[in-house]
Amino acid sequence: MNERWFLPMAALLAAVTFGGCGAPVAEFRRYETYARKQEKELGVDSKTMQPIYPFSRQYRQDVDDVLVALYGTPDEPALPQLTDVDLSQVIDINLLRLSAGPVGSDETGRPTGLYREHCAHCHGVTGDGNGPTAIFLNPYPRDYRPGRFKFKSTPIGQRPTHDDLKTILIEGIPGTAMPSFRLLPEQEIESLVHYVKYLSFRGETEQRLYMKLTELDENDRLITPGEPTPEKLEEIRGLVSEVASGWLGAAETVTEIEKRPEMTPEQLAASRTNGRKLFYGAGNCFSCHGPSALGDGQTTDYDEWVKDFAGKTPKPEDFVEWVELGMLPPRNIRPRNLRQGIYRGGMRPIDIYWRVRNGIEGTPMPGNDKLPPEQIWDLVNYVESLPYESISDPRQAEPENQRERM
Amino acid sequence: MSAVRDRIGRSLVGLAAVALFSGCPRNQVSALRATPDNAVAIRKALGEGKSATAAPAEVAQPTGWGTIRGQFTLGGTPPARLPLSITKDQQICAPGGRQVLSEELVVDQSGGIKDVAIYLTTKIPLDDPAFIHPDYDATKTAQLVFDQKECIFLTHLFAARTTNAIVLKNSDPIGHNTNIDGKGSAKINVNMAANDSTGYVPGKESPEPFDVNCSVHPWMAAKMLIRDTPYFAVTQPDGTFEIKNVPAGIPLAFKVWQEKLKFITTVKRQSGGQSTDEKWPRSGYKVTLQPDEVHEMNIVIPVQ
Repeated sequence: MNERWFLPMAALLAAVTFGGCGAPVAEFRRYETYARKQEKELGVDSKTMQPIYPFSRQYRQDVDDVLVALYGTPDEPALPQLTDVDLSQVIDINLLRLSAGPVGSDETGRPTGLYREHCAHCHGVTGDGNGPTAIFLNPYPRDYRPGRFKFKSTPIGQRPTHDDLKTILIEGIPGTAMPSFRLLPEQEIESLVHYVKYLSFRGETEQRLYMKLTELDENDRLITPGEPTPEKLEEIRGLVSEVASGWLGAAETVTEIEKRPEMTPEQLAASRTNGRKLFYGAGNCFSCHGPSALGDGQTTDYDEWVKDFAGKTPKPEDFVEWVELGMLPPRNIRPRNLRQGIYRGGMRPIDIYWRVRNGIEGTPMPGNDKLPPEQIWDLVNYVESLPYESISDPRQAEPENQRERM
Repeated sequence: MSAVRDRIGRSLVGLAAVALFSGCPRNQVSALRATPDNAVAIRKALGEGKSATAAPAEVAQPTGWGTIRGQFTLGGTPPARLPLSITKDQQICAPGGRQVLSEELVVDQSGGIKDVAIYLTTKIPLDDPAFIHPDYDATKTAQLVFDQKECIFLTHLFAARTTNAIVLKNSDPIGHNTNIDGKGSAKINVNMAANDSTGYVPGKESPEPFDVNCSVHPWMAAKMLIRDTPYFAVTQPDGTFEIKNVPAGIPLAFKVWQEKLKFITTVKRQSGGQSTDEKWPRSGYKVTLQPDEVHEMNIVIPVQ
């Protein structure tokens, strides 16, 4: 080793070691999968299966510009200013700011950056369910961007209410990595709910902007930032209003539930028997939850978050493309094993009623709007009894209790 | 002594190389790349509210009615229809081991393409008899049945007006569920008991056809298109279609869509033995009809 090299080399090593990398900038990610899907709507090459008319750099840039104009950045969130819709009814900008930005606290000691402190590591800065720890979780964290949530009091196709999201934050989701945030002060939970709605709003708007791109003629643009035409501005306001109206009207679409009938033990037993009949009959529950309700009836399907991109009958190459676009490798969606007594959407009878009555959005689970309330209660009663049946007892599955197979 | 130093030196070089080449993680490839100035300008313009110039422009009045009709054919060899894997309830869904083929692109012997949707996208007043021909009043609220039998949706591309009463029907002796992934229109996913039926209220129109599936039988697939106006058609098995009583004298735009070919813009028009290449704008095929005109669209779609 030449002495001449020794010192510079040591200095370089020290510089690299102590200089470090610095924290990555918190940025919103582009909704790549949705953009690709929309590109494909314009036509697909039958050999390569790639879009024939990919969006130009300018097109993508315009969407980015409009998004920042409407929603700001992770550090400085903003809300679209609409004349016909009052967004402050859905999202409170002051509460929102409490969750935005880097983790820290203000002069009064009030914490800021709550989303990045509590949520972003799994759900990602963008709310795409793709934070650094997401890959290790099963199920994966929720991608808020399509505005689609599973556990709510409203029917499929409707947005959840503020309280639905808040319940999930307070209760967590049993059987998943989503913890309860019950220990946070009320105001911080409120702030996080507003932030989740903000990310969801933003994602839905991004979807609609990309959809708009597919309707533009060759020389047209989404908007010309220098001198935007009134028509283009009106189009953008219109699509944001549409997104907003879904959230504004959510509370009115809540499925009202008649009180669970009071029952004597005999009536309850009869109700469960009816529920069992429905489970194998008109309710058709067994076809996915399995003949023994172990969740093994239909195990090859995927959820709508994946199928939105990959199509209703996805092929392996669709998944390859999905992963190339930065998403996590898809996993099959599993019908719930009803013998474990773990209910992700909550274990109150009303929660199970909502799942049976309305179905679960984004999953193959359908609703049963034709069943009268008493029959749905029969199903709820039956489902609630399943974990207590003797075959649900896990001891039966232990090796010493199993019959030897030939 | 120098040997030790040499060893230290070499490991230093190694460490430095590792540190240098492993490097720092790059920023996200897919990060948003907005231009701050543009964003500020757009925000300012959006915040200024509805400008005076955005007042509704004078709408041209239709001068009569015309007809659009024609045929869509495929230029080139159609791809083979793949058999679907019937993984459940075979005795009902594939009686006698019958093969069920995909309906993504169905082409007849003469090349006619089934289930091409052609629909008006121009916004027209919906309650003005100058724009919507009175003949359409009869079918405005008609009941349309979307049926499934032997695990096949009997209408593969189902088109209806927002005002139609849609009945979802299950003609099978087994349970199904109808998962309607409405884009713009209502989404529902309802359980359908054997030989049962239920209603579907789409609420709003859809900008493009959307998926209908059955989660119990994942191979079952259909598409639905819901429009506010009656000016839409779905091609017959021979690729022909006809839209009657279309308002004349006003510029109209029609989108043309097929499940596998997606939105169709590059075509060859057949007219009087001539074939001319055409490239339609993405916002749709543009036409202004003359009163009583029969606008012929005999279109060959080349296989990409």
